[in-house]
This record gives sequence, C-alpha cells and structure tokens, in this order.
Amino acid sequence: MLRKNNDLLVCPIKRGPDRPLYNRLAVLRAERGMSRADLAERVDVNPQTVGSLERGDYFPSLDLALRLAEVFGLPVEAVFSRVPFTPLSSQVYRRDDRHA
Amino acid sequence: MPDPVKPPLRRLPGRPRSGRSLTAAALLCCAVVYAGGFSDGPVSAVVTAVAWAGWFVAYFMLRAAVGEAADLPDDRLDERELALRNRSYVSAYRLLGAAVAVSLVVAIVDDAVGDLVVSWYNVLSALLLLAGFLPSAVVVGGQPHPEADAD
Repeated sequence: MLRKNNDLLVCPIKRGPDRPLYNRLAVLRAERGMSRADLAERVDVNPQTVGSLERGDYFPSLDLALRLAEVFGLPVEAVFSRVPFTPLSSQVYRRDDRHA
Repeated sequence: MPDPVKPPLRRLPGRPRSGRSLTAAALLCCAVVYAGGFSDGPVSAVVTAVAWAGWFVAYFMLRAAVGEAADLPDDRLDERELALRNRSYVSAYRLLGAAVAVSLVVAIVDDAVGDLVVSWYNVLSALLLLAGFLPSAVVVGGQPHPEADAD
C-alpha cells in the first residue's frame, strides 16, 4: 500500500503495494519497556521515524534495519518480514499444545 | 559509539495543526499577486503589497512549523526526513513547472491578442513566491500527526 492514513509512503526503494514490509518493532519495544524516543536515540533517528516504521508508513534502509535488529539482539528477519508476523501468543499456545 | 564530529539530528515537530491553513494562506497570497498582474491602478498595487506581506508572514510561520526541514543540511536529518525533504523538492519542482507552463500560455496569448493587461512583474513575483514556500508545504503534508506518535 503506497498511501496509508492519507500519508504518502516514503521509502528508499519502491516496492509497490504487492510487496509490503511488516515489522515487530512495537512488540519488541513493549517487551523491553522501551519508548519510541529511547529506541530512536539508540539507532540515531528521530522518534517520528520510529513511529512511521511501526505504522508501516516508511520502509527502512538496510543499514537502519540492521541497527534496529542489533538493538534488540535479534536477526533482522525476526524484526522485519515480507509476510505478517504470527502473534507471539499464538506461537506459545501452539507450542504448549504439542507438549500437552 | 556516537560520532563526536557529526552534529545531532534536528528534532522536527509533528504535523502542525496550522500547516494546511498556512499553506492555503500562502497559496492564496501567491494567487492574489498573480491576479494583480492582470489589473491596473492603485487599488491593485495596494492589494498586491498586502498579499506580499501576507505571504511573508505565512512563509515564515510555515517554515517554523516544519522545523525548517526543507532547508536543513543532510546531516541534520535522518533517512526518512531526508527522503521526505528530497521528495518535497521534486514535488515543488513539478508544481512550479506547471505554473511556469501556465504563465507561458498566458504570455503567448498576450502576445497574440495584444489586449491583455499583464504585469509580468506580478507574474514572475508570484512564481518566485510559489517556489519559496512549496518545499515546506510538501514537508508539512509528509509529517506524521503528533497523536500518531504518542507512546
């Protein structure tokens, strides 16, 4: 989607509406009790950019994506994905079902 | 480790509530200055002068509202703001090109008909005013709402 909430998408590379980029930034931030300002300071961007990333209004460059992944100590594919992320609660519940 | 030589990022404000109003006001002033070129007399001159003054007020308010994002050097903006700023100049260039094309048509018609009363000073002034505030106006449109960024 190139236009969302009346805001034009701004991204370094045009991917088109058929190739969105999903992310887990909000969830990872909440897990660590980190505010947008905290995360923004750690990756050297403005807090508005973190908000735009989380809403999908902006697609990060490779450098920014790797910096964000480094902050959370995760591989970049655990933070960004071409397919929607499965909710973590569903993953945990399904795992408990297998062990039941 | 933060680079001690690199200047800090400029904290830009979110989309200002008055952004669209200021853009509309500046655009209106440009239109008045442009239209003033098609009439003659002291009233037209006074109206044009008032429009000029109004444009300056709207321009500086709009510029302050976007944190001068359209004019900051590259190292004071993060990548999203840089892309937004660059896009603002592309959009402003295209809009200004359209305005120049319209003015060219008017010039051709004026030359052919010969009866139009056109002050090209007003027309060129309006185009310059348009070029001045368009980048900031496009940046205003690209900034996210402050409520959207509330934690």
